[in-house]
Amino acid sequence: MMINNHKTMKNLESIGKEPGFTVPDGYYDELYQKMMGKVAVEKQKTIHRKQILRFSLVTSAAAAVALFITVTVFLKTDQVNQMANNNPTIQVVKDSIQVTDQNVLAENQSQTLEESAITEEPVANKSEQPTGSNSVSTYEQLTDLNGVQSVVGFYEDDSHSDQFQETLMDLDFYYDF
Amino acid sequence: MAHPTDEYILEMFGSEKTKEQAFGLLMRKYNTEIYNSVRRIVYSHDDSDDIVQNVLIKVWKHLGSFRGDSSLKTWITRICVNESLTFIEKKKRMLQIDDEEYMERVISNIPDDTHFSSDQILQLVQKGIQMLPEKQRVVFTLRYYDEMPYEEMSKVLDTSVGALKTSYHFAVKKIEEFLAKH
Repeated sequence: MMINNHKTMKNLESIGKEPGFTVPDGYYDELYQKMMGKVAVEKQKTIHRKQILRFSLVTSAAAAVALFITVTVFLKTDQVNQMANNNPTIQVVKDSIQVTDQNVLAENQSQTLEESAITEEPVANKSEQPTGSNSVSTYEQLTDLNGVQSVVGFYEDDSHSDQFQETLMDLDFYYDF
Repeated sequence: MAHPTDEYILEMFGSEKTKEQAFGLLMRKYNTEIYNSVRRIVYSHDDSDDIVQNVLIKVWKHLGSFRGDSSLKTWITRICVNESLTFIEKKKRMLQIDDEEYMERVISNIPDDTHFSSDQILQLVQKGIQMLPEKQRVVFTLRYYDEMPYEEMSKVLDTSVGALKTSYHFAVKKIEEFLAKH
């Protein structure tokens, strides 16, 4: 077997190690020029890629920071709201503010009623009535034209005139006939 | 003209200013070896030209990360082998042909090839080489033409020395049988 292999090698070696192939004239110089051109392009591409990568990194970092700030602010706000809802002191304060608001509103409404009651044209003022169920009913009672007319009709009689003036004084209500 | 050492080329390549110059020196030094390594595997000059350009672009891109675990020549040969085998596989897929059909195509082109010797014996040897399975052909050409030590071949092909010796032995036997028949 070894002898046979040795013989084979000798046969191949006798042919020689010449590859047999050739290259076109000036092939290596042409390849050199071509490759140097390609390498220059590759270099430009690499620089461009690096620039894009740098820009992407900066943009991504800025976006990440913006997202982080947004999420943090959102979470903090939510947390504060939850704390406020769970904190009895803050709840009491909030309730008191609400009550105060209602009181102020009611006071404003009564002032408005008083002002409208002493004007000469109550009908026109009716359209400016404030909202609020209690105030509205009072307002309507006091400025009801039919009611006023009935009172006027009653007190047109001279016999009732003094009584009428007294009643107006008692009610702290003045109507200029 | 004496070629610069690999260390000198690598040092120059490390600097952005002299990178292109270093690559030029590398090309001058290894152009022929790269071309021969590729052409022995794929045979066709046109195919070899495409592959050589791919190899050189890869060398340009990755030489900066060359760690020096092996010699520069071994590293470049490894790229040549990988690129050539990948090219053959792609071509077979593109033409939708199997190994045997591909081999027949290559062999049938040998007599008319203007970039190959008209010597009948050399043509016969080349046919014998092209009939080998791709990996065995690589082992044969690296050992027979480049006279690469088995240890170095082991690094190039990621194969044990024993397996390489066996593969080379069978390759020689097949070529000899082919020569005997023709």
